Amino acid sequence: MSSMKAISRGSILLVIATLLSVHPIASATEESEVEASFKSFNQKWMQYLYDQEEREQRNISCKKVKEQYVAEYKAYSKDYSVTIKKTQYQGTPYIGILSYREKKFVSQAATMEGAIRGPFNLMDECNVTEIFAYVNGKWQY
Amino acid sequence: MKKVCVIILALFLVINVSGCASMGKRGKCALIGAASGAVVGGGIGTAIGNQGDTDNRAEGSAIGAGAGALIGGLLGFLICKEEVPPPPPPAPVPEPEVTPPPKPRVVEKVVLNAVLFDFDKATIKPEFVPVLDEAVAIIKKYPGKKVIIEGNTDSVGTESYNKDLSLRRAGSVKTYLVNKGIPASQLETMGYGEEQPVADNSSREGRQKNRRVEFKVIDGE
Repeated sequence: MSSMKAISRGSILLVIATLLSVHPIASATEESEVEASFKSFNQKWMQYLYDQEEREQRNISCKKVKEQYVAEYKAYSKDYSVTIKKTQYQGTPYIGILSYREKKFVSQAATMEGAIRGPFNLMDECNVTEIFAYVNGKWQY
Repeated sequence: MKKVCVIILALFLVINVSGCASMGKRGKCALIGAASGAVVGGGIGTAIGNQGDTDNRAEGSAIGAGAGALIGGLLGFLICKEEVPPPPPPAPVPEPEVTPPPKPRVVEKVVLNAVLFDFDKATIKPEFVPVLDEAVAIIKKYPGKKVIIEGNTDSVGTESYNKDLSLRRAGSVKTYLVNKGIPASQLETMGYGEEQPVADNSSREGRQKNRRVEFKVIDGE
């Protein structure tokens, strides 16, 4: 009877040891999968922004400021960075951070046609950080 | 004597009527003085010439008139001051052009794409707390800089409703940031509703992109 108890205790310890040794690997695998999914998600996200940029350039917005027409559009840097962070929240185990530069190009002229024709000059530029949550196994937006 | 008087009076009238029109004030005074002086001087000269045995009235009158004209003219010239023409009105100063203050420069923009709120509500969903915490960490890198919290919605619903909802949501986010230690004085809320779409509202993806909260860190304090 005592040998049976010893065997079962040993089995439990073995299972615990196995779980402890496997878990970090499983965690690392999960993290790299999440990271890969975020990269893939962001490729589509950035592509959406680049498409948006093209749409804006095809239909440039123009407004009259005093006696001048001002046309402008936004453009996004081709290089961007993505990182993921593990959180302490069970419902949101990861957050993803996407960083890129947003540039505003502006053209001014006496006529609307002239403003839309350009040339456009870089008027403003800023860092953009977009933050996404990983909930229920997918990136939320 | 009568002749001299007539000549002097004629001279006086001619000067007053015609010659003075184009003359300056001092010139007029000198002529009037000269004429008056000639009359007075002529009178005195006549009176002096009348004294004594010989009749020297004509000579005395002429000398007196000449001397009187000279003295009167000089006095008239000295007494009167030349009229200074009024200075031309100052040229109208053009109104200074009111230039609008330069738009504040955005240093960093933080976009929270997660649907932080339940439909039609302004209470932050607990699963998006880590997203807000990350935003807090970024804002804390800019102590003292003004941060504008902008709430935006898609175009579903009425414009006024969306504007109000976006403002309430921006307010909820502000409360969260203040509770996390960011001074309320650093934060400003704006509810743009559907006014500032960044994507096309006709697609699902576009509408999702438009439902967002943005933080704009402004250069300057």
